[in-house]
Amino acid sequence: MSRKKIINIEIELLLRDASNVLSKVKDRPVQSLTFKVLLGVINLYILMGFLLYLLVKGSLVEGINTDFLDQGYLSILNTRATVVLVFLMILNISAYYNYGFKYLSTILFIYMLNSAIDIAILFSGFSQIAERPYFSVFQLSRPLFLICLIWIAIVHKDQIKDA
Amino acid sequence: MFKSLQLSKAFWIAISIAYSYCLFVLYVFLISPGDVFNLEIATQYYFAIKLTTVRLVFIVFALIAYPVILSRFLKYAKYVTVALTAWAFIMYIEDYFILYSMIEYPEGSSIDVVHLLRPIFIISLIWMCFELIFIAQPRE
Repeated sequence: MSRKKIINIEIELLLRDASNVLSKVKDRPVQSLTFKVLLGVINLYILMGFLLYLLVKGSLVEGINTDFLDQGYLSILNTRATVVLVFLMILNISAYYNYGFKYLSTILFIYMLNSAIDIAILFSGFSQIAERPYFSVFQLSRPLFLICLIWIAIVHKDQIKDA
Repeated sequence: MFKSLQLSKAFWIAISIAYSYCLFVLYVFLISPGDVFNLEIATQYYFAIKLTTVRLVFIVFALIAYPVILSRFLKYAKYVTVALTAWAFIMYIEDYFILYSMIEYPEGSSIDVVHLLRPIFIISLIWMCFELIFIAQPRE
């Protein structure tokens, strides 16, 4: 076996051991890059939704059919935006302490799915998609968000042995 | 098939309550939907029935799939139970605190019973969650 090949094997072994050591820092598993990206996407989606709600509430967005809002959508959006923001905080705390994250992401998935179904049933007849472009973009991108929530629950590592 | 799951009697009582409630809801809304002809709040009735129909489809699917998941995939049964409990609880909260101005359920004694028994159904599901998360172990 050549000297170069031996060195490569040694380096590989060292790196593998180092990754195991890193994953046991503070008795906590190190989450993957996919997990971090997905958590970032989830945070971004919810924060953008909350920003959209604040803009609509303050009448700072043009091109929205006000009849549609008067039908009760704004009051529903008001409650849901607050609930989801609180949920996001709890989810982030759970990710930081690595406790109950899978359960929380499952519950958030169910909440978002239920709210999407409710909105689709209750408000589909009031307005066309083109009359509420901002909400429509938000609603149409919901399936991607739901996929992110399922994906993050799958890639999350509960214990060091998963890492 | 279920004996190897090592679940307590309380769990089986809770699941029986949950299944009985779901079957009662199916019976009430499919067989005797109550007085739906009050024209003063026809729109709210319409939304409530529409929403209930979609929910009933999910309930039927869950009633069929849950025993299969519980018997074959106990590792995932706790996540499914948590999801179903969250869904039941979210629907309860939303109906009374968020969608109350949009929907109105038809009047009728059996529908009132459905609403009265809803907290018991949710408590049963919560008990099932605790049992599966903290007590039940997957079979070898």
